Amino acid sequence: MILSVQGVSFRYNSAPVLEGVSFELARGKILGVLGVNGAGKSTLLKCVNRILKPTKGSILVNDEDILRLSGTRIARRMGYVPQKYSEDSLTVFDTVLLGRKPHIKWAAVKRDYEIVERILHTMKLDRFALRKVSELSGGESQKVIIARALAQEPDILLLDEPTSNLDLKNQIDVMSLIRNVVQDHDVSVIITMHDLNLAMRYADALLMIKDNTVYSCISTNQVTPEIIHHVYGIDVILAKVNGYPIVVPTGN
Amino acid sequence: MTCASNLTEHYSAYINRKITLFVMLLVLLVVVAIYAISTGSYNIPVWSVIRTLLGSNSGAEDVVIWNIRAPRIAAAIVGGWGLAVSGVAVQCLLKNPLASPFTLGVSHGAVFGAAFAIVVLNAGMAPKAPANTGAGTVLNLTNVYSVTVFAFLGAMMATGVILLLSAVKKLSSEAIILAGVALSSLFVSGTVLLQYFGSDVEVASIVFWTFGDVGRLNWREVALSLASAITVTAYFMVNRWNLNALSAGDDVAESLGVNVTVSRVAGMTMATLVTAMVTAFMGVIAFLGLLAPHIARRLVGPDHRFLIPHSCVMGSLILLVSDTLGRTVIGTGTLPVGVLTSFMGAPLFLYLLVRGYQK
Repeated sequence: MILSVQGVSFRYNSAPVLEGVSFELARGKILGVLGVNGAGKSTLLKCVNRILKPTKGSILVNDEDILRLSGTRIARRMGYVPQKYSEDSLTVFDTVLLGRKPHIKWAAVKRDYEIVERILHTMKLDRFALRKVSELSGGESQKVIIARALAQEPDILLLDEPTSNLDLKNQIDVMSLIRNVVQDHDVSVIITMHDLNLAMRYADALLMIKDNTVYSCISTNQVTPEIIHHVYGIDVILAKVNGYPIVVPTGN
Repeated sequence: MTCASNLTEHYSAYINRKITLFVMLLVLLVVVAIYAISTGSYNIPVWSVIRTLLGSNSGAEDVVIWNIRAPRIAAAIVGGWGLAVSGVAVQCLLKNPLASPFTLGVSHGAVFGAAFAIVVLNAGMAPKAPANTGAGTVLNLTNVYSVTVFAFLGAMMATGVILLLSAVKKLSSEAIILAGVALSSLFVSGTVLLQYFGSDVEVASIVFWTFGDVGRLNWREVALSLASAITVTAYFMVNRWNLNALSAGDDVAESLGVNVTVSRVAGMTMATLVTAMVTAFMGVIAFLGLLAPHIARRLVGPDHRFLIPHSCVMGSLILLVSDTLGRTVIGTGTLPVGVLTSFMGAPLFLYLLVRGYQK
């Protein structure tokens, strides 16, 4: 297992947000994190990346405890894409180059530029390389931010609702891109989502959070209407259309 | 592969354009500096200025240049540089384009500290000041270093409050500027209170000190300001990648290995150091920390690898040109440069406000 989270708890002031969260992630897999608003999905990602320090528990990446690692060493192992990001006017190239920061000592070297070029090329962003990120569409901007995280050459990518502000086409584009990234770069992905259809279609396993802790952690083909009912409090039908899994709410 | 190579070439050309612009600004600064030394109530031919600066001239011109003009020009260059690097840093650290030492109340904190030193510690009066204090006495801050120290402490007080509000209380960037307004008001009130209890000489010293003026520095004070500007600029250049990461948001910066809290506190302290040093020696030079970074940002974008050096040169240029205009065109040789920078900076502040917050 590339990531092992054991008994992680986190509190904002005295209010518990996460209580005893445990799960594991295998290399080259996509884990979707689901739950209602305020369930603690984003907090979990931040704890895994030590942006927030867990009050209890351990997080091992390749058997190394991240609570004992420096920020730079964590950044070489995990890339993070936040739910909201500052729309600055750095160019696409400079934004992705910033992802090399954990590897740069004083100035970027040839290898850094080569990695940025390769990622931009792979993600078909090279034609925008010298354009400002703020001038790009939502979908393109999201790809640039994912590219920045990839430039860190991480083992694990943490994506916080990367499709929440995107139209249908861009949602599919970004999720397909993530699937390709997993295959091409052999990284593992934890992705928080609200869209159950996208989660069922692209994730290998789903981590359901309810009442501040893990309700279930199962592969996508083990999801049942009962589990979704317990997590979201709504009745659904699970079906397949042209081979794609879909979740259809039936209750009010 | 061809595509990647082209990309490298395009990016290199893009970077080279920024470097070329920096060199051009530097050359322009040297040209303006030489012109500024040559011009004034006693005009000196440019070639004489160059010969003197190269050490192959002597006589009256040598005295005028080394004792009067050059310290003033050097002070303008160093002061503009220091305030600009401070401005570019606080705008990034607080993620607010309106942030600058002046708009955050740091400059007013320095004024309060200086006023405290002048009134309470008698740093503004000559030890054996004659009863009929003339301008000579007033203009002579007997212990300029205690004024400097207290100006620094005053500036640090303001910075401490801003840091507390931004880092601990998580105030929004808009609220931080409002907090700066409140702090400025508080420090101005404190300064007025000190003036109320001060003697005529002390009040005059405070007023004199408050007017931003680059003409009052001697070489030692220029050297001290230069040392602080070099130290602080070096610090921010070493941390330029951290500043770029912080611009992308605190969470992103943390995820890229930046210790956000330490970076913010250390950065604000360094920015305050140079602001306090420059303000303590030159008085309040308003809005320069806002003007220079914004013009530089227009020219080279928000990448701190280039924004910091370009802002520094731009700050030096603005202050030098303003002072030279104040000396030769507008004033009679005594117009404080702080007045001119206010005239330029306030409209920019309003422009940024309108652009950033219009519905």
